[in-house]
Amino acid sequence: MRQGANSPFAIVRVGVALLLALVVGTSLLISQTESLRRDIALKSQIQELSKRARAITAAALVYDQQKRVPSEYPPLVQSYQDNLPQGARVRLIRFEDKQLLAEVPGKGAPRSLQLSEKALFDQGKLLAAHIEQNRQEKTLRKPEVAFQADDVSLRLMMPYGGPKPVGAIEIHAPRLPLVPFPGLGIIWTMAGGALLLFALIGKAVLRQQKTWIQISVVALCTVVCLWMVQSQLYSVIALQDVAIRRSMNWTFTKAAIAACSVLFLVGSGFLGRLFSTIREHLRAYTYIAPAFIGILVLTLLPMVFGAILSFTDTTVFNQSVPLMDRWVGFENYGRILGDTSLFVSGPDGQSLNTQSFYWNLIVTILWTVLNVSLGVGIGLGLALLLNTPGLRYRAFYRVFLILPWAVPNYISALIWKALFHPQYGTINQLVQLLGGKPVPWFDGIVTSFITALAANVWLSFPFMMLVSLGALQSVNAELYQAAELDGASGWQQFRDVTLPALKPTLLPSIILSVMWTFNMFNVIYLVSGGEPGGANEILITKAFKLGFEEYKYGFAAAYSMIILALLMAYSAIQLRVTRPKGATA
Amino acid sequence: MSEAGNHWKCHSVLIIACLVTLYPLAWVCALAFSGQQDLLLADLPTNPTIWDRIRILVPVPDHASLDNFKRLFADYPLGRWLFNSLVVAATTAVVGVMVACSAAYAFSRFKFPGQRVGLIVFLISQMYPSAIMLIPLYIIVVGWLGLGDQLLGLIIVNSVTTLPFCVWMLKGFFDTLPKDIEESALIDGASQGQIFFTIVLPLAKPALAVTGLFAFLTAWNEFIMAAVFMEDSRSYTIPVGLRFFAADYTSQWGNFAAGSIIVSLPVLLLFFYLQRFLVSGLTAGSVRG
Repeated sequence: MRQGANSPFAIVRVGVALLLALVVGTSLLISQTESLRRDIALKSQIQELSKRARAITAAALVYDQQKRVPSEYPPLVQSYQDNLPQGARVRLIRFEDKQLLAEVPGKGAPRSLQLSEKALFDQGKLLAAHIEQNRQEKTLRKPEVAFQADDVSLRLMMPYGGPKPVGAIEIHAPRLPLVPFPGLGIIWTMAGGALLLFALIGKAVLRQQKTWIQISVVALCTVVCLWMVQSQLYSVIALQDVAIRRSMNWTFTKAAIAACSVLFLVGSGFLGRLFSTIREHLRAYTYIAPAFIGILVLTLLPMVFGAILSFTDTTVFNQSVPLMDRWVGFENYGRILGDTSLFVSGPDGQSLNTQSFYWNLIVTILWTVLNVSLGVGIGLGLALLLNTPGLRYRAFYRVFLILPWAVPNYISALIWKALFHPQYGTINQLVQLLGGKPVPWFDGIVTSFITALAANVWLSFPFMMLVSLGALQSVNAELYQAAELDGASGWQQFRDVTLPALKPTLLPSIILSVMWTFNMFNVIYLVSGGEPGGANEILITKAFKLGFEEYKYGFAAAYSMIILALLMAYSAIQLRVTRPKGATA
Repeated sequence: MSEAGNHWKCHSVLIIACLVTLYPLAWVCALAFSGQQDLLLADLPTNPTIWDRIRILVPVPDHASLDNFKRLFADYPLGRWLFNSLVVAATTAVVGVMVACSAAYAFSRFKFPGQRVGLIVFLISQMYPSAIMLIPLYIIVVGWLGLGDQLLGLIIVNSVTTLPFCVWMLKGFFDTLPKDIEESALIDGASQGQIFFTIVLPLAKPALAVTGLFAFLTAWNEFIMAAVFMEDSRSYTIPVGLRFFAADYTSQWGNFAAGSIIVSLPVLLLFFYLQRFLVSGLTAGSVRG
């Protein structure tokens, strides 16, 4: 049931949608800005505090070198008075003799650390170790300053004494008060802006016949209103900082997208229809819900998440960095698809560029085509032999020939890896028996390819054989008799009677096995391992190695998305060729 | 084709084919029962004669021994790995079938918006390997949910992976069940829930069993996700453990062979029981235009 765009119901719906969108957008903006503001305040206070801590520790370092008693060293005491914020507490420790050099407020220092202060000492030591580690790695991967903050107080701890810290300082300080939030101002701005806008365009909107035009115009207004709110919010944030400006813009984009989605979902009546549909078919949806949730969380969510990852330069090291700072746009895709050179020049002259995506794509296609055609050829051939009328021991042959399919494929793959072992493998023993020299299977591109191919054909032809056998047994015997009466030769019978009869069964199986082979991770990974030097990697094993051996998550995700696109294109063609039974209902 | 009874050409081709399929398996058996770790089944003298070379190829061990099997349980946590695999596979089968059968029933019996799209989503995702989304899946399961090194993580992921196949298998079965019984039960005043639990499920027992066994097999043979999720050797499943034996740097081929036999035997039996269902199940969505 669809309402006309001009019916009172539709107008009310658009109004409600607008209200909801504004509420969602504004509250998102405010809450995000608020947390951003707190973040900034915290950061600046930490900066301020560490500056003071450094000043104190500089004095402490001089004291440390001269081994005086702190109370006898006026510059240190002076530096507390100058640098400690109002109401702050400080503890200064030295690692060497586990001394508490100074405590303000407190009179006991210097003294040995007590058991209750062991945590302090350990944390200082840990941070000092971080500093040394970072210096060796020439990075800033480990935190060199520790801080904990809540609404009322801030605790900061940092080691001092250069690259080889000799002690640590801990400062507790009360939090600085935040600038009050311009709460009412925002509401007024918003209400005023919305009123003004609708006064200007309200009539034009109502005259529109199409809901989507109405909603688009309203969405535009919503964005403008949100922008006005945003400009109010700018007043409480220091905009000079580029990073802050960027994250404010990002906040605004998020809020606008959220508001517009709400607007479209509610305003177009989609949400309402969705609810009424769910209520109408509640039983069916309840039965499906568990499966749906499973697929949603572990199939669709990873897909979306993978798509997002593919636009970042995420590695195992920078996972905690905010997403926006890892964002690189299409760079990964550009690097994968842009590497079109056929040759690379290495230390020993020109060689094939076996690291490029296109090389792996060609290997994958070759791998799939050879495997499937060999599998179908051998499978169909054996099925035809097994189908010979009056053949004895058929059941025995059948059982033996299916065996490779029954063995778990990772085991078959590892067995073949052993058989192809260059030194002790049975296949090279056979080669030697026949008078040849042992072949270094995994050192050459072609020979290495052959090892995986042999293993995969061995384990995949039984499926084709079974499928063909089943189909052959259902071919009408009268067709052959008729063909024979017409004087058809054996080949003609095969081409004109057998093949057409097999087609409906064989075609889906071939499509399926193309998919399997294209993604046959286990065989490549376990038999040849993509040797030599990754030249025999198929796409899926390459993506795996990028992700789990080089830890380039973002790059590998982009690689996977390209594979996914290829597979989807293939599925689309396949759905066209064979309409799935039951799905057409 | 001759009508004569002896098809010697046929037989010779088939026998050669059988030899090719059987040889690797025979070789593994020989290695497993040889009690040694080397790949060569017999010593090769420095100047081997032709007979020595032929001897090497014959898949019979020099001395029969059960040492490899004993070593697996004495020196390695094979029992633990078997237990892990068993727990993962069995739970996956139970959870997967339970979830799949209610969904399949809805797809088969009810008409609702999204039915066609849902079926196609299941059909397509059946064909995508889980390896392709492994990186986001790894971050979600290990990083966010903290389920690395835990059987639960593997169970959840495996259940969802086998779901599409199970749904299609069971939908195919429910489609063949006559609706009359359910309709008359409905007239007698039974609720939909009662019908599902007291009429449909008992009728579907054999199909549920077969589907469950498939899910079990899939999870039992699953290698790549277990390899990625399980880092601690105590939480390995069998495939990851066997791969550990066959790794380049250790190369304990005897242990690998013995382990393979322990793992494959139940699978082989199960497989031969199931294979006639398998072909029709895999092509269920697409056969018969």
